[in-house]
Amino acid sequence: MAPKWDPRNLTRHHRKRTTRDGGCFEDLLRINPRAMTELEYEERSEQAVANAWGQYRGEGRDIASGEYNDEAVYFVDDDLVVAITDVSESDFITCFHEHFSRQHVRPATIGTVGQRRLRYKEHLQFDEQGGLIRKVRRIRGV
Amino acid sequence: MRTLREGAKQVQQLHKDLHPPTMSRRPWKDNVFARHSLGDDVEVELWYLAEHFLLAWHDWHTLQGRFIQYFGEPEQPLPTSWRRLDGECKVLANRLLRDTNLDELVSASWEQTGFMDREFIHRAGSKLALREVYQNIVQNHRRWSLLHGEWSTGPAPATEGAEQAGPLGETWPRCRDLAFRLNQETFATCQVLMEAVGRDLLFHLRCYRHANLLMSWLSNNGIVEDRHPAAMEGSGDGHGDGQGEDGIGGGRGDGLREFVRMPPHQSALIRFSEGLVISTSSISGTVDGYFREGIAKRVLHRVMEAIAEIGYDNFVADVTDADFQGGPESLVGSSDVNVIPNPHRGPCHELLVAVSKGDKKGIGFPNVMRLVREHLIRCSVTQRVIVLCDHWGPNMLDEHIGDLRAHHARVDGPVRFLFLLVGTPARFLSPVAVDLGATP
Repeated sequence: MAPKWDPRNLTRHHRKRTTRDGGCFEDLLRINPRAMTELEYEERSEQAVANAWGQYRGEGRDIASGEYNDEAVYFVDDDLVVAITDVSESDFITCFHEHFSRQHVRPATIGTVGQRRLRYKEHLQFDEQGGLIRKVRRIRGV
Repeated sequence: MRTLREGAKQVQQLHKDLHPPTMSRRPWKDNVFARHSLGDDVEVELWYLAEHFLLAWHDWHTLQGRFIQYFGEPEQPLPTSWRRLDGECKVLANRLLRDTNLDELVSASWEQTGFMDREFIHRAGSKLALREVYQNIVQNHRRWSLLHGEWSTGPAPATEGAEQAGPLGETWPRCRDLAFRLNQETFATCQVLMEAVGRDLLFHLRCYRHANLLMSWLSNNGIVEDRHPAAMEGSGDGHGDGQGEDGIGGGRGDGLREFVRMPPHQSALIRFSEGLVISTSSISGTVDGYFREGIAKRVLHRVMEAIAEIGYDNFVADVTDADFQGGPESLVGSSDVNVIPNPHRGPCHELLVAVSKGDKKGIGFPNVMRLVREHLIRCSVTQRVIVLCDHWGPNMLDEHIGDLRAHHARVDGPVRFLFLLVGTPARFLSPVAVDLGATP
């Protein structure tokens, strides 16, 4: 069964993506200049899970509080859209686009799919080594 | 060892994917299938595969050396297949690093990705951009280490395909220059961000350094001879309040070390996180009056230094690991020391180091002290005992005090005990007041 969004969580994260990261998902969906709707965000996150090449579990560190979050499952697709669910994979926690330390760029400008995957794996390794995520269990692809 | 095994597997896959197109002189801009690294139907730019291979191989190659120093020479030597793989990778790396076309492509990529996006950091807020800052520091450290490592400098020996090498077979000159600039820029940016994210950033850098065994006392930790012209001039932006006893650091009131000069021959990651290292004067000040000479002093110094850098939990985990053998560059600073608990008993030495955590299970203080007492009976040559613990109470030694006093009062060579308690944060130790010669 595919994961689902809690309505309030969906609204909250959709707002983040369209304000703080405004233009990013719109670019991925090719709908710029208009803003992405909640439904489009919801569908795009479901696609990230369905088309994921990489999947792993771990406890990510919340930068603001310095505490580690509960264990979650991470899915990443070839556009480097990352969807995070609870461990039962039934509820979405969040969904975002990986930028590799920069402002948003079109995935294609990062290079081939292969380059994106290698970069993502490398960055996951850095995160793990640096304690940004712990208790990582690799399921596939990464 | 698991990290080394995973590294070997990754490097082998990359080598298998990269070697054939390199030998057949495919253009670096071509896309190739990296079947072993990515699967059957995923293409990647050949130049990017080459860059990725070089960094991954260099990480693994240098980690092996540090692993042997940190944990000690293993009982079973590292697999011969690794030696073979390493040799093959080094040949390939030498070829790649002297290819001017590849140098051009990779330097263009680094130019795009190597500098921190200050506008992004400012917009996101320093704290939220912490991950990006950390990743940038790490990536630039790897690039710097690859190009300023001792093995990669100088002209290559004459090999097939030498016509693709640079004019003097020099290691990627563009990337070398760029790595140097990125290094300087990274350090400068870190100093600007220090107030906003310093504490968190240092935590993550400390974790990274431990994961990669980048300890301050180990060779090949990012401090190398640098032949870059600016480095040879010894540029620096000196800060601090004077020369320390080692001629590098000055003392600060909190016991941390600052660099008086900005040594150009270090990566920004190492330079920026040197604040984790406690000064030699601070260590001496803490334990002055205790073991003053010889191996005991050296071991004590190393133990405190190690815990300051990696934290007590990591120290205990590593020193009790099945891979831990001891040695002059290890966590205990000597081969002539017994460690409890540790699966390798080894011959008896005059010095014993015992580590404990909590008061339950095999590693709890009560059980560790029982092991210490058994060891003292078995190894009558023991003269010095250092016991580390993470908690203390007035009755901690009740069960053991009789035996400890007897060993302390031995006429044929009294045993001296030093109990060290972990502080807050768990990177500092201080002596516990235990006088076995005093009457209750």
